[in-house]
Amino acid sequence: MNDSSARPADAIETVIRTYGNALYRLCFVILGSESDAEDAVQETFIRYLQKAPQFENPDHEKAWLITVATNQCRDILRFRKRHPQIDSEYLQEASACSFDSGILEALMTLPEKFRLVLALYYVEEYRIDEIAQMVGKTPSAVKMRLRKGRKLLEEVYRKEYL
Amino acid sequence: MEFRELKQSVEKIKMSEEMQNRIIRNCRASAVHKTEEITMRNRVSFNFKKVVSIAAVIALCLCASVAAANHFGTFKDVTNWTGAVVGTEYVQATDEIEVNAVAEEGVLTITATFLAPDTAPYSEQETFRVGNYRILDASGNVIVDGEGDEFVEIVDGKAVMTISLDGIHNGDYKLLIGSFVGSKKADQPLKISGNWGCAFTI
Repeated sequence: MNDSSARPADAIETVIRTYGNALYRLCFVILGSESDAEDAVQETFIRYLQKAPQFENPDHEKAWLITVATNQCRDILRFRKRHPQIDSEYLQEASACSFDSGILEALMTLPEKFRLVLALYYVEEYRIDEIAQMVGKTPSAVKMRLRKGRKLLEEVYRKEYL
Repeated sequence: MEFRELKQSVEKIKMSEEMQNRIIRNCRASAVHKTEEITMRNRVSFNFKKVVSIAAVIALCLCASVAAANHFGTFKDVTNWTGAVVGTEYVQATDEIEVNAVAEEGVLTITATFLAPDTAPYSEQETFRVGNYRILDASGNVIVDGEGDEFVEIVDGKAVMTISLDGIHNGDYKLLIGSFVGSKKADQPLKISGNWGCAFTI
């Protein structure tokens, strides 16, 4: 019954080439790790093959993928919390990644919940109500996180990188 | 502060060609594995049990999801009246758990099969129980509105639970399950919500 939504595997390359980078950068911003971001992106596309509904348009398709990717990232973060020995690997990897801009480094110092909404709003340019739906929060909660996230980002950026 | 710079910086983060090809390869391999799994499942023959008894009749039922709109589950914060987060639940899990039920000798045996047992939250649970459920009669009246209370061990991605049918007369009924509860030692139990429906006959 659930298998009826499975998609043909040969279509997946086009989807990955179309949306892969957008999902990857979002997952990287949330997780701060190349390998974890790759895992999250891969799981998202596997779910796409197995469970994706019929989409009304490409925007609907992208929003669905972003929502699933966000949930995958949350699962990874939960796993990390329960298995703290993994953090040392994550820290090594995160510190090995070099950013060419102070603002990105500043972003990565913020808590995950602020990074996510800032990336969805400023990078992917979603509206507040769309972000609320993706992250499972109310629009007012998203607005609050954006406001706090912006303030925190400005503080860190000004203090450390200007 | 110029948030345009943030967009430009983040957009420079890209997958390498090697990473993209690896993901494509792994997704295709996953699709082949899934096809083989479905083929194997279709080859299994079903055995139907018949109990010859003056007092009891056995019914076999297949469950279908009630809400087809939701296709994936998500974790959701549980807040109290002040808005403080006091826990977590997992919602919209309808399509992630397959439910079968068999009525026999005053007991409804419910088998929950996780369709993705290696992914969260299912991979993290050790025991499972029925959460809130209702039993409706043929006229749609709610004759039982209850909550399961007994945790059972999860084995091979399945949990087999029971509900008493004591006091329920012979006839056609419908079981509606609104949630399950998963548990792992030293962890707060996790409510897993969805819509599962099942017709059965006593």
